[in-house]
Amino acid sequence: MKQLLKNPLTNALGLSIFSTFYGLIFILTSGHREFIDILYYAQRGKGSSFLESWSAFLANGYQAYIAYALIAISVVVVLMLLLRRRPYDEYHTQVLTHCLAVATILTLAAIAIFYLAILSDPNGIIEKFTLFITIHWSTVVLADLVYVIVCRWR
Amino acid sequence: MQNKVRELREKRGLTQKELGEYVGVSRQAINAIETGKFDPSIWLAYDLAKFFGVTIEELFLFREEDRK
Repeated sequence: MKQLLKNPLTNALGLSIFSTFYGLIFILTSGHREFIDILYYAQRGKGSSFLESWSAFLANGYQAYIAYALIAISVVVVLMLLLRRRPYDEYHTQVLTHCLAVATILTLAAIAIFYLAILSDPNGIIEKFTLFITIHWSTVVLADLVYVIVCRWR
Repeated sequence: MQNKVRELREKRGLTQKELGEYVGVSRQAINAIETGKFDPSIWLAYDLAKFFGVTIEELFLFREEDRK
């Protein structure tokens, strides 16, 4: 595992798969009629003002802009990783391991919080889960950006 | 973990970056070792001790309270 994490290609490949998967979903659902039809708050105008605004944001297809921004950052991170001349050393690997552990704990906490949010109000599950994915994806991409900047060789 | 890496490095007039290049790690790794934020692997400790011509026990201060 440590040998895998030492290689910048592992990080680059992982982030590429992650961003490609969510990027495709966000871009494909943007402005898609079937996606808009399953948005609860945008259809009914119910719920908290934040969720209504978020639902309207999704109904307008603006999630594609989130995808473009995160894909652009991911491309920068992947390029920085690919242009790296040497593998990470054991200190960098330990930092990355800690980052992954923190990301895992935060994700588990977020799953619990969103599960409670859905249990308290099952309506608008698409909006809520899309919000969860947006936060999760942004956190991972930005954390990786900080990591590659902080751990650059020189 | 307390150690004498900074002391021995400075005696030799080396920068963290130069020492890192000698033992194959980054400047950040040397800095983290010197400030006690990072405990190196046994192989890196061996490389550092060998570079300075001392034993691992002379380079790193093994105290029971630092045991993890």
